[in-house]
Amino acid sequence: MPQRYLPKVTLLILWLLFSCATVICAGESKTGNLIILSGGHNDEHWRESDKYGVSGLEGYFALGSISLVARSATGAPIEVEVWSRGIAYVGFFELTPLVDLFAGVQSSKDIQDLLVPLGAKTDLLGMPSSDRDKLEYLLGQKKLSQDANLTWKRRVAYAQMKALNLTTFEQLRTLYERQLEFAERAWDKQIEPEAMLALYGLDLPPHQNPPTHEKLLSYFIETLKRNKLLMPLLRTKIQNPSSASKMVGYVLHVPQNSLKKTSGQILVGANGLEPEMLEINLEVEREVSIFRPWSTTKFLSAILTPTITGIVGTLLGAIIGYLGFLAQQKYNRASEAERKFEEKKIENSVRIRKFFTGEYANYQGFETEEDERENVSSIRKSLIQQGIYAILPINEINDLNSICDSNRRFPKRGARLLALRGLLERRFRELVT
Amino acid sequence: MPNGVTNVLNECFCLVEDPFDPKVDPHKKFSFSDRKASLSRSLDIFNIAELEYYFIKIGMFKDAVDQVANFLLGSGFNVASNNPPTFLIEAPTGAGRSSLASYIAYQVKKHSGGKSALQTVPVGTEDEAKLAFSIKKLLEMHVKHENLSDCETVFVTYPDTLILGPNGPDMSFLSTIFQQLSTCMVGAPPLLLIIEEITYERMGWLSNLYKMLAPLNVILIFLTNDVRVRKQYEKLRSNGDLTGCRVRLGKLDEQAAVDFFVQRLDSFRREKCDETKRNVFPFDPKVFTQAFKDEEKHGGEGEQEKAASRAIGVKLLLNLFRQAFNLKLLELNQYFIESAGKHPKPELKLEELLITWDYFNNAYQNVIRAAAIKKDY
Repeated sequence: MPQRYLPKVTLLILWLLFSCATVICAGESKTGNLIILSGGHNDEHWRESDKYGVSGLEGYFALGSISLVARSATGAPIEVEVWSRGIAYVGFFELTPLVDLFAGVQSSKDIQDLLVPLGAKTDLLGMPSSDRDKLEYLLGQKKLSQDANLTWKRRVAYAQMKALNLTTFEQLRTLYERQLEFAERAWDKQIEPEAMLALYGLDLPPHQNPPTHEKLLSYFIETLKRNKLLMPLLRTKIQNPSSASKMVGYVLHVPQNSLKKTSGQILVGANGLEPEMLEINLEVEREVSIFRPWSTTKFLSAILTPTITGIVGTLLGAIIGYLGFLAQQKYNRASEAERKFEEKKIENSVRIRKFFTGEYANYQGFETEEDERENVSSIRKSLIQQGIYAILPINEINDLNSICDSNRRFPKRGARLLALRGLLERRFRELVT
Repeated sequence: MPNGVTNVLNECFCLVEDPFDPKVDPHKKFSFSDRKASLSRSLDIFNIAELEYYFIKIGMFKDAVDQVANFLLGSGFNVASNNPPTFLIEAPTGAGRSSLASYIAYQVKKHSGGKSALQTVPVGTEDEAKLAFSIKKLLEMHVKHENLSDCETVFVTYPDTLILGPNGPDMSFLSTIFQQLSTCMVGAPPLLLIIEEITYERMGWLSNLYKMLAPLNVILIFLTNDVRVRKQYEKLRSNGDLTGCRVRLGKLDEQAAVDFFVQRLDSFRREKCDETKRNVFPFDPKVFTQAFKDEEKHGGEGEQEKAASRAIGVKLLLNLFRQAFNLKLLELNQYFIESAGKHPKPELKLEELLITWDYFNNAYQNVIRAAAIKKDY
């Protein structure tokens, strides 16, 4: 090579290397340059009354969709997987599986030529059947399924025809166009259950009155479940970029009483690369009723606000403190009375002992109930006159007066004197004997 | 008593005298006025033995009299042996305890040969020494009256000026006097002392006085209204600290009151009178029911509720009935005066003679008024 061309070649090599590096680096991102995601619910608020009952499962249901588009055309279809993380009970379903399957198709004959090529037609001779049966037959023949791409298309077409009970390619073509139109319009507005029902060729459920949103959603979800179209992990393929994206729908089911707030992600991965994540946040606003005392009520909610909680807490604290103060005062009074009693007992111990060792014995014997009452009354009089009555704590004085009250009945003869004796000997034990 | 009232008593109630305040008892030939006795006061039976007849022994009075009689028979009391008994009368004031005390003293006098003296010692203070001093003075009088010359020297040895100090009588001197008297008063006629009254605070005097005075042949009659004093007395008696007898008097209940007045009236019945009026009881029976009804209490458990009855002291009863009786007498006397010139002489029906509750109402008001006046003075 002449030396004057060396700098140009060097520059070309460097540019090629830089381009490759750029491509390689770009190609190592999450999903590469293969998929554009859009749609999905970032934030959803429900009220408790928004629960929908679907086949006996009560809870909250949210319907959402994700658009999948390939940035550039690829030879082989891109394997896409959609799943969720952090949120339970998420089911995925394909709304437009035929989009990106029949690119450029104009008529049912085009579909037939695409799905059942000439060679395959020869094999089907002598076996006239519906288009769906043909696809089924072809899918069952291994030697006719060399083309993976074709096999994929046949599989998707057959699944759609079976799910929606289609038998001809013409019907399939109609469905394809409906799905295409749906996918093109999906950019403009939120998907409504009526539109999805129409997409599936389902009639509205029979109602005398216009069905509510909840009934439509329930009906739609029941249909998906019945036809096994609701999957925790969705697998699909994208081949060509187009103005119509492939729509994947998802249904979130939140059990009624277990969750108030939850968050998670919907992940979309392609060809095993790091997936794209869509953040999902759900919050249920509990409805409160003042007439439901055992559930969260408006009253409790009002109380549990920080301000009212503070006020109530302060009031409760004040009440508890006051009660504690009263108890303490009562205890102190009792302790003080007891202390004073002990002091006075010591001060008057000589007189008290003289009473108990002398006169007290005169009042122990009795023959009749009247004698007993006389004795009790005499003891009380003597206690007063000797000043011993005044020493006793107030509660003992009350007990003593009650025992000496002639209107009070005692179960048997002697019980009154025994009670009085017990009281005095309890208080003056060391001076009685 | 005016002549007219005597006629009323005779003709209406077959009574010779006012049973409540007689001047004379023609049956017993006893003049109350001459002997300065009265049935409207306590009976001085000790000094006027005839009054024993009018000492009505019913209910608790009878029990007390029997107890004393039995005690004196069984006590072995002998004046010569200087072992005088004591007596305790437990009764409220107005229940006849003074009369009973005099009666007991009279029985003791009879038992001891008829020679004894009786004095009442009113207790005015809580000072035992003052009481002992009063007793000493009475002993001095008794010694002089009985001419116990040996004992008189003791009083000369210990004059009052020695005994009385700035703080009152000195108990130690008094005790010494009593001790020294014990030798000279052996076999002396007993001196009966009515100590009125022993309260709870003076309980200790029971044994102290007995110890001091028993050797002097002094017989103590204690009056009390306190159950505790009675129990202490019983304890001293059971311990052998003194000898004696205790009796108990209470107020009269309805039946006892009826019996009392029946006996009182029977003491003054005329020997000869109209058969229909012979046993006339001037008081309407309803009077007793009404007087003894306690409207504040109800008795009778398990039965139809009835008003409980109360008891009334004999002194108050006599006062009330005497006043009501006098009112009726005056009314009847007036009636007789007014109908003196009429012929035929109008006869009063039995119902018109009865003293009803209205008379008692007025009498009760008079009693209350008199008590209020007495209190003010």
